[in-house]
Amino acid sequence: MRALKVGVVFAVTLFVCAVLQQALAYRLAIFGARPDFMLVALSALGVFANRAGGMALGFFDGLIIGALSGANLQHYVASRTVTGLLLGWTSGNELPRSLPAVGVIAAVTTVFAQLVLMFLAPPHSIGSFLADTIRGAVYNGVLAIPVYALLKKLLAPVVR
Amino acid sequence: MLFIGLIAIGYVLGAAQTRARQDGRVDSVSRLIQRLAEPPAVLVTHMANSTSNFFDGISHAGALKRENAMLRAQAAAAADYAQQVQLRQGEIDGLLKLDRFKSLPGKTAVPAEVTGAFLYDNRITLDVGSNDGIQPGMPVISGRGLLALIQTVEPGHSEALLIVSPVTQIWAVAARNPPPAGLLRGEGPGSLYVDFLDPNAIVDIRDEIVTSGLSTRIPPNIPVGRVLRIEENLDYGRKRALVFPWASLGAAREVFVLK
Repeated sequence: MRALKVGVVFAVTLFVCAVLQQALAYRLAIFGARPDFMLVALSALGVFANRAGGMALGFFDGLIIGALSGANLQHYVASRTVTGLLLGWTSGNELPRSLPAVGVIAAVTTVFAQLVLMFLAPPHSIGSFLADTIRGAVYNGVLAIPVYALLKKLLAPVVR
Repeated sequence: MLFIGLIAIGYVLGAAQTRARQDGRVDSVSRLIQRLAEPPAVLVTHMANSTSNFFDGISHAGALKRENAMLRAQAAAAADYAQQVQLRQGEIDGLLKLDRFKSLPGKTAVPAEVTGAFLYDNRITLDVGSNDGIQPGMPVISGRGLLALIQTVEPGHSEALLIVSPVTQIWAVAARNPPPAGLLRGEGPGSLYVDFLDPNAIVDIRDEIVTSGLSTRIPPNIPVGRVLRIEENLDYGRKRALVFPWASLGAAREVFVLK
C-alpha cells in the first residue's frame, strides 16, 4: 500500500511537471533563466528515493523530457539516470533535508544533469549552454523548495 | 545491473527514435508520452494565454483608458471624411500585412498554434498534423517571416525545428538584383549565417535575406532576416553573412504552416 502511494505520487508529479514543461516553461523566463520542471521533479522526488528508486526516477524523467522535446532519448535517459542514481545515493547518506538544503540540492542536480548531457551531446555553443544551465539551476533551486514542501506533506507518513 | 539495464533500454529506445525520425515520423514511445501530455498541455496553454491577457489588461489599463478616450473622440469626429479615409486605410494596411502569407501562389496557409517550445533543442510543437495535410519539410511562418521547418508529423500535432537550429539548412538569397544565393544555417539562439556560393557576391550590411524558392516546399521571398555583419576569408575564397532573424519564438504564438 505504501509503495503504491509513493509510486502514484511519483508518477503524478512527473506527469504534472511534464505538462508544465511543455506548456509553461518557455513563458516563465526571468532574466534569461528558464525553469526545467522535469529537473525540479527529479530533484524534489530524488530526495525521497533510494539508489534503485533514484535510477528508475531518472530513467523515466529522461524518457519523458526526451520524448516531449523530440531530442535524442539516449542522451536524456543516460544523463537523468546517472543523476537519479547520484541523488538516491546521497539521499541514503543522511544529507540535511531542510527547505534551503533541498533548493541547493536541486541547483546542484540541475548543473550535474546538464553537464552530463553536455558531455553526451555537446551543444553548439558551450558558453551559452553553461550560462543557461547556471541561470536555470538557480531558478530550479527556488522552484524545488515549494515542490519539496508539498511532496513532504504527501509522503511524510510513508517515507521516513 | 539495474543501472546497466536502464541505460541499455534508453539506448534501444533512442535507436528506435532515430529510425522513426529518418522515416519522418515519431517513435511509438515518444508518441505515447506526447499523446498523454498534449491534452492537458494545450489546456494549460489556453489558461496561460487567458491569464496573460487578463493581467495585460490590468497592467495596461491606463493606456487602454487613453486609447478609449481617443477612440471616442474619433467617433465624435466621424463626420470628418478625411479622418475616416485615413482610419480605413490604416486598417487595410494592417490586414494586408497580416494576410500576405495566406495568398502565396500555389500554397495554402494552415493556421496553427505553438503548443510547446523547447529552446535548448530549437524545437516547437504545433497543434496541426497530418489530419490537416501537414508533411515534414513544410515551412512554418510567423507574421514576421520564416520561423521553422516541420520535422515530424503526427495526426493531431507536429514538431518543427527552428531555422536558428544548427541542424537546419535552407537556400536563401539577399534581396538584390541580381540576388546572390547562399546556404542559410542556424548558429543557435538569435543568429543565422549565410554562406554565399560566390565569394565575390555583392552583399552589404542591412541587406534583407529572403528564401530563394530553390526548394519545392519553401516559396521564394519569405523574409528571413537582415544582414548584420559580412565575413570574408580571401585565403579560402569564402564569404558569409551573419543574419539577424526576423521571426522569433517570443513573438510567435499563432503561425501558419504553408502546404
